[in-house]
Amino acid sequence: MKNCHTLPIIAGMLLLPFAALALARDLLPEYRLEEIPATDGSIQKCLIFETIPGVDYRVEVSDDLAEWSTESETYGMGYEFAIPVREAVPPPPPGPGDPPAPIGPPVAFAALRMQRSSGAEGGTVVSWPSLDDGTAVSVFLEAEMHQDWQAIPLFAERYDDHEFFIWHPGNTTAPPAENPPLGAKDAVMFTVLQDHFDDMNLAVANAAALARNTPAPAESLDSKRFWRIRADWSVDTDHDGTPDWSEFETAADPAHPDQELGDPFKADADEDGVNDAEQRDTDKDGLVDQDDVDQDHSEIDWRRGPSPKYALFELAGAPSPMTPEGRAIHVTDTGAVLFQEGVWVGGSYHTLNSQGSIALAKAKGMNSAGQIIGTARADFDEDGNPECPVIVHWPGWNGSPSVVEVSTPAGKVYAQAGYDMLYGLLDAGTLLDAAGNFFALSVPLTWDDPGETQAPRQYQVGAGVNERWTLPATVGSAPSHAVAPPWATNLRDTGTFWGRDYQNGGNTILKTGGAEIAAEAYRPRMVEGPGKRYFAFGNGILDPLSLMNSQWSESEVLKGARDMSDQGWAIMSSTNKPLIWSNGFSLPLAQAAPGLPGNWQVPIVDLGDISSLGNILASCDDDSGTGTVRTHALGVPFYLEDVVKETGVDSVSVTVKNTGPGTGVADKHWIMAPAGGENTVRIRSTACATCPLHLSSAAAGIAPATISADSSQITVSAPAGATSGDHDVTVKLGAVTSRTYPVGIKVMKKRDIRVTVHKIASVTYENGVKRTRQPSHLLTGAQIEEYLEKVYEPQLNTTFIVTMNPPEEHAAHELEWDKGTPEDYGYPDSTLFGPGDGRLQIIPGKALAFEPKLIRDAYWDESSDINVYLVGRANMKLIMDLTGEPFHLKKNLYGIAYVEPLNIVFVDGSPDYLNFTPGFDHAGGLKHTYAHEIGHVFFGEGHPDQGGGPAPLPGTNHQDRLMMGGTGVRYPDYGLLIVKPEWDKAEGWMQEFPDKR
Amino acid sequence: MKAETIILILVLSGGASITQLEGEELESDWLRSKRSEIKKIESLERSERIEGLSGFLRAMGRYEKTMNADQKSIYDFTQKELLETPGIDVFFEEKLETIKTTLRGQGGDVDYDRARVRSFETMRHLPHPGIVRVLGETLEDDEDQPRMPVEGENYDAVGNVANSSMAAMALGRMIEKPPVKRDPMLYFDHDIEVWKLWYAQVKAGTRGFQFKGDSKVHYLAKSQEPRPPAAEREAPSSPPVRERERAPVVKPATPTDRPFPWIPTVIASSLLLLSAGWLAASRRKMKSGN
Repeated sequence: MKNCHTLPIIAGMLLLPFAALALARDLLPEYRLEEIPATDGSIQKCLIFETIPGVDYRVEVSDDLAEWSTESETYGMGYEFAIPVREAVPPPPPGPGDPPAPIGPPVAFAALRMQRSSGAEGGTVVSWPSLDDGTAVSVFLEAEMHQDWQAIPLFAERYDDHEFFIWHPGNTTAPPAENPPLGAKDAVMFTVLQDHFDDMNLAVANAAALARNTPAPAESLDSKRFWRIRADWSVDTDHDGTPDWSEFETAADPAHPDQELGDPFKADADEDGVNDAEQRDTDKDGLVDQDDVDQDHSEIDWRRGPSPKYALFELAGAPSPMTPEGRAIHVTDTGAVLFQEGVWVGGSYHTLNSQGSIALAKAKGMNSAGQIIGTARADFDEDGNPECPVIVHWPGWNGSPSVVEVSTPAGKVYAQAGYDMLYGLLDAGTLLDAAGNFFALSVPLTWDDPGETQAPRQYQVGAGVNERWTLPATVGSAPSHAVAPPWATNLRDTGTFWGRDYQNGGNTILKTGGAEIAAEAYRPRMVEGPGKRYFAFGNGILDPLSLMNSQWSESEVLKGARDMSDQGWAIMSSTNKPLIWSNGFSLPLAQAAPGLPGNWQVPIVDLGDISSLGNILASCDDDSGTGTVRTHALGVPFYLEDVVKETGVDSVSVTVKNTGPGTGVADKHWIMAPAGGENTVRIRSTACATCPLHLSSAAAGIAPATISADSSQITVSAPAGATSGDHDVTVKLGAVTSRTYPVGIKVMKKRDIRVTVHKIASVTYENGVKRTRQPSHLLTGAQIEEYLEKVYEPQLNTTFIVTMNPPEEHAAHELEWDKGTPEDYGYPDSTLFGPGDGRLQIIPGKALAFEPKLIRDAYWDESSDINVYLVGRANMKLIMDLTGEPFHLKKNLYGIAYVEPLNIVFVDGSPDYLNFTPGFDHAGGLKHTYAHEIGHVFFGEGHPDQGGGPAPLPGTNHQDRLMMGGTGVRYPDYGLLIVKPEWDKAEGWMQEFPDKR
Repeated sequence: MKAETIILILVLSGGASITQLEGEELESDWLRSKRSEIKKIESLERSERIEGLSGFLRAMGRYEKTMNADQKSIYDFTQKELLETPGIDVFFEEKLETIKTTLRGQGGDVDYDRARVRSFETMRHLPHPGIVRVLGETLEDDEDQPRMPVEGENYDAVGNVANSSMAAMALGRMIEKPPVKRDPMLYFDHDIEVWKLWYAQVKAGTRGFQFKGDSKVHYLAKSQEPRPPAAEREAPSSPPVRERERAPVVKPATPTDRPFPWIPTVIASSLLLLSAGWLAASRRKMKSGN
């Protein structure tokens, strides 16, 4: 009988989520108190909580709410977990024979998933998070599961000293190619499983299986006791970037679009060679989430791309916006801005030519070829009184206008503007396509006397019919006209056009791909998005529509948008503040156009138009203070591309949704100009042969200085003696200088970084016998140096001098560093620490821990900028201490950096750790570890994917970044990008060294 | 002749090494270039000058164990210049506060952490009673606790600790016979509490302290004894004051604070007597020789 007179009291119970990255889940598991039989037959009052599949639970106990210790830890599989609290009813007296052997608490809780193998040979596949290091383990077992498992999804039973929780999802799975080597704890557990597999089958066949553990009898206590359960929701056993609980949930939901990817123990669940994280497509728009501009709305079905920054050219010489002729109509892809009576192009304004027989000509639309159409009155009878409303065209801004007409001996057919075009109700940017097509009324004119040649001639005008007209490609040739629907007014090309169907309530009809799609509303502007889906815009007054499955519906994402370019950049306004939307987020003009001058930062600024390629037309109050005079400007978009990946271009840091402090958002696109070297990049803009742009910088050379194509390769260089610093690139269009600076150049001095890699062989004495564990010798100093330079030289202009200590030809230094005692670590009562425990223990939040300091003090090269310690069998473990009770984090560290002022790095050189993935490029992974940890020395602590470091850049693809933390393996040739905020931190680090300033 | 040389060395030994090196013909290129950079820094405005000199002091301080003569001369010179800068303690005290308002919370706190780390790394090389006061007061500054990993995070970079810890570490590295024997890099929280007690006594004037390698005992609090005359207050090893922007809290050490340096005085006196005797004997010889 237990000590019934000193019943432990549950004085309180805390259920706390451990993970700070609290996910939007119900963090509190269901729990209750229940009396259930224990292993010795006694009835125990138990705290029972329902585990959630994929969540790791740690049960902690305390006698005083101050000191807590871990009682047990288990991985949730959906079963119930019983914690014995106190004895309720003593066990029945033993019967004849020997009393049953007392059963203590289990050594380990093993949470397994068992499935039938889909292989021809049958068998069973058992998967679990490793008891040794938490990684995913999947093992093929020849034994067959009993058919009755089909009815038992959850099974809990204790065999020997292991408590097994088994989840059987019912489906089959492919066996692993070969069974992996198991860690010590896993191997013991698996042996127990094999030994009792038949027992398990028998229990299942007898339907005796439980979905709950049978607890050992509660410990008798003389005082009260408290329990709490910590739930770790962040466990990602297969390191695919999705937490296990989420994968379990996905797997359990047949309606989930990614159900086949829901496997917490396989990073590539569908075995197609692509990591699950790279395949997840939440909105099922055909794009995986990490590439999708908007993961939650299928209407936005295009990949993330560049976010433009704008050069802003005020339209010098253009007529006053306050006059009728000063109203800007629209902007073209070539940077021309059309006015009623002229064109601003190439940095200056040109009045359109007039022609004697044509009066009151007003431009209406212009295409990228420079052709212009407008309305006018023609003097067909040549009586000196132009009276006939017609459409005229100018072959270019400096050409002469002519009536759009086709002559026949009996008369002519001429083009006439319909009401909407005449009164400017149509979208001016799509009145005339690039090939010179437009829609207008075709009006027949017949001469009363066809033989009459003397003016004035008498004529008759017939009824107009809507047709598609095509302007001549060469001056002097005749236009042509063809049949068109009566509603067609605007077009993208001859296959895609739209208009307002007055026969059907004035709603919009779009014809594309041969089909006519009618909307239940009117929108004058259609844009085919990058995902080949159409959007209809209503001049910013009516919310846009998007076309999905041949149905128009109001756009959920682009509310307030006025127009959009072909790349998916939209102009919006919000309470008179102009916004430019790209990559799923909008920026005020002041951020989209860096360095926006004060006269543009006034209450009323308007974005009137955006061309297909992204040129914008902006207007604002002048800085006169009167609020009446306005200025127009042309915005030209810029972004950059690396000619060779990861070589000193940052066009990523501008693509951040959250532009708040601490996100690392950059104000503009950046090029790193190496002092004494050069960097070749591709600059993307709307520059063209007729609209070249000139680039210059006070601190760096740019060649060629003039770009005349939308994609131009330029080389940026800085003198060898240049000092480091940030500089703007000045952009000129003709004689007009941009008021803003979309591109910057960071000059970086050439620096040598001295790195000494100390090779440390770990020496321990086991039963008085010396044992030496050498570090891995996968890489020579030259190989490390070459890799570091591959990563850093093109991005930071740094070269490396790597010295191996001792040199390659010598064995590593032997050092008995594994001798830290609990006292040395400040935990005299802890059993976590001890000489010869095989762990190099790191304590976050301490300047340096005991054993790392032993190593550092033994080998320290003061002349090196960074000292690296490659330690044989380091088994680097983090010690956490949140409540005064230290514990190890499960995972071993591949490397760890101590930032300034120490500037040291420890790299685990254990061959064991390097073999964790068969077939993996171990040397490559090790190279990446060197570069990443040295990156911490340069840039500071924290990882972008965990919201830390100088450039978290939320919403961007962190897989590309050198400083991504993640939990998976890294590859030497992928994910090496360093961004501008990190360039700056590296520069700041190097400034600390007088020889590097 | 030899005696005159000895006397000259005795006089110069109290000055900065860079003064000696200016007269040397075989100056290394490295030293020449560093001296040139330092000269430029010397002409900068006050805060830039302090920051520039601090940078050199920290850089040379990295070579604690293997410092060569050139590095030592730069170290000594920059240290002396900073120690002689009026209000150097107030400068760092104010800087620690300024960077909190200007840098904290920006860019993952990298710049902020570096700025405070560099401040403490400089101060630990400045054996100045006022700096002890700044460090002592900072022992209470626990605002910037180190970031701790969350489970599941791939934590692999150890950042910086609270100012209180850095202040204790700096004190531990500059104070002779520190109250905590543990290596400052390994201080635990309770070690910092010990330093706080130590500083409370120092601040109250009930405890003096010495800097490493210096036998002079300093006291921070106002002395209960009457102020000695100005002539007596002039401590030989106290830095001369060029200007004073803000009255320091630190009381200069008084002659009564400091034990008389018997050993160097005896050695110097003996050498002087020997030299004088040798000189007199030589002259007698020369005279007799004539």
